[in-house]
Amino acid sequence: MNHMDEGLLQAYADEELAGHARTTVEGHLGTCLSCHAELDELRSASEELTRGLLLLSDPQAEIDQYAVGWPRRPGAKRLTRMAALPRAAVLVLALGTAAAAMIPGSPVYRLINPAPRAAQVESAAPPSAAQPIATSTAAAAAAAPAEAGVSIEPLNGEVRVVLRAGSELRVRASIASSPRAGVFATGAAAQARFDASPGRIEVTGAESGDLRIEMPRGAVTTVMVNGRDYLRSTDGEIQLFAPADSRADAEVTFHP
Amino acid sequence: MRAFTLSESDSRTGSFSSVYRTLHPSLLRYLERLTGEKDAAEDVAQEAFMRLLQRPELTDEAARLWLFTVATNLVRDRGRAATRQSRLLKTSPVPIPTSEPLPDAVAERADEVARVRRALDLLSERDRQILLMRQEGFRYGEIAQSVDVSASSVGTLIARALKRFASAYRTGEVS
Ligand SMILES: [Zn+2]
Repeated sequence: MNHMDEGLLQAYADEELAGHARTTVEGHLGTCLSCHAELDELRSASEELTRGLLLLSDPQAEIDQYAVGWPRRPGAKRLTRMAALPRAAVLVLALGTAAAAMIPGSPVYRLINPAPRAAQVESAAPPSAAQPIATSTAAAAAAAPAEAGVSIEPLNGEVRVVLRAGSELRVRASIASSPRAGVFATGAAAQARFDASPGRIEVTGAESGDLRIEMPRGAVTTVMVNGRDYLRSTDGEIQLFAPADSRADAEVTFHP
Repeated sequence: MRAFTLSESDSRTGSFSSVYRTLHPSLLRYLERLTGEKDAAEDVAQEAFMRLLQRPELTDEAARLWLFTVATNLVRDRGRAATRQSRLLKTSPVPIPTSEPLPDAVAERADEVARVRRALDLLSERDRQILLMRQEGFRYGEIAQSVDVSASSVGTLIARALKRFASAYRTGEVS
């Protein structure tokens, strides 16, 4: 088996791959521990850089971050995410052009490619949901949009996510190692409207389905739901202002 | 602190102030990290924005890449070696009161900051540029344009630069 070269893995980690290239890497990662390890190393280095740069820009703020125990030894906590990958290899979701068209030409640098979320969608979606999960690349080409989303970079270290959402919506907000903040919708929520501007993502009309919010560890992210502050992540810690369905260290799920 | 003076006749004036507001924090952060010097970063940012005023034909998106590329070249022109040399002679970047005993956390922090700075300084200019541009959210295609390489090689350049940074940060040397 040919291993993936570091450049390809890096491009995968940075969400620069789409379509066939992405599924090829994912398929390989699902079976190859050595490439997993390589990807982990790249991600650790990336986290180390992000953390270091934050420190340079704001030495004082970082002292608190230290106190809450940001992992100093990189790589120790990364396995959970990777463990979900093997099944993703056979699941391909199609991203519709309709979703792309809803996003205005503001500082949205990319539309997130749906493939990497496949494993999560698989476990989260009820079997009957009108969610086009295709089981082969060929079938995926004909499928309707199943995931839409935007990502932005924080503005002055801050991100605001504003949701106008129905109570049928499931929201999962988690701390992510990426320097960018993102909101990704699957199922019916993929039809919602996404607007992005510097430091701010607005999602309107997400009535049901699943929404995932990625909050960069290095930024302060405030999530506002239907007009009130719902939660805030600061230095990798999540502070809740409203009831949640479940909460773990770096992740909260709730219904608006 | 100098301010921009924008004349009414300037064709870019309307959108310029919004471009400035949007891009300045990111550019300044980038330049501070690139040079390690606040003053130099501010000077270069101002100069780059002044030059942008003369390029009204650029779209906002193109202006962003253009601005960072021009600013990076300005830094290079100013002679990084000289500024870095002088910076290395300075003491800790964290202001430390001399009369009181140093709290451990603060001392440790100062040490960390110095290590990060040193690790960055050990990288090549190009490595530093691509890592810092990536950090500001530039896509591979844009980074490729800015450093004049093919887009397909950016992943490899970033991977290697990240590993060199990690090694420099952990051991104080580039592997
Ligand atoms: Zn492999």
